[in-house]
Amino acid sequence: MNTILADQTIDITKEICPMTFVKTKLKLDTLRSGQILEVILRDGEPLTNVPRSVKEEGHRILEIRQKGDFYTILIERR
Amino acid sequence: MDSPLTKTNQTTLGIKRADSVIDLIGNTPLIRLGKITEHLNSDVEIYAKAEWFNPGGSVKDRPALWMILDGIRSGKLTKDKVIMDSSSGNTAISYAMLGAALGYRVELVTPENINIERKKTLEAFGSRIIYSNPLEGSDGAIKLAQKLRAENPEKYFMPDQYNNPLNPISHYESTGPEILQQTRGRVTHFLSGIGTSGTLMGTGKRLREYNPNIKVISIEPAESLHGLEGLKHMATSIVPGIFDPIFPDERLYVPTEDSYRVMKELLKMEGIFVGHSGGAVIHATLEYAKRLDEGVLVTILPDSGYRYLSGGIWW
Repeated sequence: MNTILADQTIDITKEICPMTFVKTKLKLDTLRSGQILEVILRDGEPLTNVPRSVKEEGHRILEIRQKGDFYTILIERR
Repeated sequence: MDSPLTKTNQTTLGIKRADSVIDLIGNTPLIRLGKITEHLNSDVEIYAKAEWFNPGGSVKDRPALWMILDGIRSGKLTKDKVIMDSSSGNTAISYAMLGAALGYRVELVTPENINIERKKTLEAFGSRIIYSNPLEGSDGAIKLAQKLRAENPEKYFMPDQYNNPLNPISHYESTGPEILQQTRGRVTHFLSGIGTSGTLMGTGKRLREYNPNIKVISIEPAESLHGLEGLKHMATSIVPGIFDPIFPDERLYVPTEDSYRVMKELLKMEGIFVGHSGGAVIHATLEYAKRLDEGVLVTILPDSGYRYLSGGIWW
């Protein structure tokens, strides 16, 4: 079961690459270190690119799971 | 490729709502010029895109955003890289703004004689300025930026606005569709000043695809040594890689003095405060319009006069 609670949520299902990453990055910038961001995104390019780019920035991916038509990822801000 | 702006920049009410400053780029107003055009045939309409409504204060926010997003998309711009490019001013400010908003360091190569407004603005955003020889103008800045990149390829992400296809693509995907929407497809002539030529090439391509009869006209300084910042006298400059000299249907050349005069007329007659290049394009557009019986002419006002106040040529 999901026991991790997100501090903030962002829906990027309407964004296109690379705004998917840019929006996620901007949202992460508003969090404090250790806080959790939940990102709702589409399958395909966003699901491939966003977690990879977020990891490159030094943040930690805690979880990726399918939720209906979309996916959610939980990111811990570094 | 879709515009990255279309889905984020407008609410259903048409009023902008932004999650960040990058959401405010594009969708600038189109202003009809009513008084300064009174001597023209009544069936000739002249409109101008007010590009100083972009958050960085100029048209350059569009190509700067597109080039930076492409850098992120392609993996060429990573968090350890510094955004570095040459610019005579406006692009530099757009990079500085975007770098601050997105968390990238920015270094800008610019001629030492850029005005105090620009220097202070760049410093305020936290960018580093690298000065090139003022006597060599924008070409000197281009050469120095290329040298810096060659010496430090690992350090820099250089968008290279003069040769990057994303520069005209930004206008193909944003400026062009906006003009078609704002004129309801009635535009007959598109006139644009050329510096990198990105606005002319990208917007012109989009408009011609919509209607091949739309005339695309370029505007350049008449003299090699001119006072029209941002515009290039192509015959005596490094020609940008993105420029195709046979793309325009016609090429117009404007003297600096006439451009300054029209800049002042716009201020006094229309209450519109534009920079030097804005005066140049309106002068050229008004002269061109004298030949026409009818038409819907659209041009681009790249920035506002507030960016040139220290030049002291307003009275």
